[in-house]
Amino acid sequence: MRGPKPITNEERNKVRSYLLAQLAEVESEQLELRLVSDSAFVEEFDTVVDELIDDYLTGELSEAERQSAESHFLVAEERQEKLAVARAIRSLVQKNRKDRSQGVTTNSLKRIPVYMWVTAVVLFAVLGVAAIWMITRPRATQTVALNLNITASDRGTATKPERITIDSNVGELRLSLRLPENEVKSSSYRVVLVNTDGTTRNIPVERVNNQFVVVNVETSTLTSGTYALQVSAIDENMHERRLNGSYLFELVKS
Amino acid sequence: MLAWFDPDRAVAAKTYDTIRTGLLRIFVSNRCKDPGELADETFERLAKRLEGISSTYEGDPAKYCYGIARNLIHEDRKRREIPDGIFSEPPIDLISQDDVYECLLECLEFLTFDKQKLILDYHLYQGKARIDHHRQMATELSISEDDLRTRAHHIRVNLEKCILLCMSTTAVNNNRAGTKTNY
Repeated sequence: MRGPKPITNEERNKVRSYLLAQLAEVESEQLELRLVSDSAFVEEFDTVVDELIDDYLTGELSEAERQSAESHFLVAEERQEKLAVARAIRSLVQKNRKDRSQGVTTNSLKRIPVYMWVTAVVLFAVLGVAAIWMITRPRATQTVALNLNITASDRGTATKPERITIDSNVGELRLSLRLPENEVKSSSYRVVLVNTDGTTRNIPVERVNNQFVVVNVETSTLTSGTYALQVSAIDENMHERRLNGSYLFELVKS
Repeated sequence: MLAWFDPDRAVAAKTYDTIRTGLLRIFVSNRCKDPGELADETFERLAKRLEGISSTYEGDPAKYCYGIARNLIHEDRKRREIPDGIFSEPPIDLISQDDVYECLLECLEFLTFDKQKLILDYHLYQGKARIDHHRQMATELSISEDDLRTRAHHIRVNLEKCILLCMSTTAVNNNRAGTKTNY
């Protein structure tokens, strides 16, 4: 189903200013008039309300915006309710993240309904059969493990990347990214793979300890070339801090 | 009143709905005490004046309703003695965050797995990482970032409705048990 026609960024900024009581009276009246005559605009307006609440919760507002939010935007009971819900969602996400990094089953998973568990069991059975087929079929899927050290430079600069030569039997790279010794350790990290063409994607973190962040990368998603992995530490307040430098490797597929 | 909005009843009903929805946003954004009541009052005043204006007024009905709404906002401020541009302090601790959290867990059960995943993933990061992550999610779902935002919004609205319902049930149960609630 298609959503409503999106509004421009300029219009979104105007809505944001209106919500923070920072829009001129004439423009405020134009905006309010649109609210009573354009239902698609109302929906976009509501998404800006959501965003502003999120920005308030994550501390992404300037001091002036924060003050306006507290003295104007968040005063109404409806907004207080929305704020409370957004805060609960953030708490749950944060808790899930923490639990996941500690290998604990999350509360929300415990509350998944029975029919979903049944579906999951059936799915696991199917996956089990598929896994047996995958293992027994005549195809080698080796994993190559490698430790990488952080380098100050990014991909494509003077530092020589670690070379990994693989053949078609290798299905996966297990990359252990050694954390810098002086780095303040975190329980959670985000890893981004910078592809040969400069595009990026998140790589799921398999394991974290005091020394390494371990990720697995399927070789089918890679071509020969030089890659960079960028690591960000995430603290308990969900603030991200990128580690200086990158983990470089050059993949050669023979 | 509906006939004044549009001769076609279905179109008129939609117009009424659009105006009312917009009025609620306006009253909330102007920190009015009871937005629902003020929206009703807007239409009541319109109904009273309709006889006099229906044959002469040629503009957009929504614009006329908006004019009434602006008057109501000024009256509401005067009644509460809040001058224009002077803001009151926000209410504190009106809502028990623990109750909201418990209700969120219950309400998530009503969502499909895909929707649960989407809403929790959507709120995973903040700052620049959030923008990158939303872009990646949109790509994985083969939808635009605007559509992703709208999808997340719809799920959130449904969660809000469910949580409010759950909270009111909790409040009733607590009252029955004789315990103090935050409502």
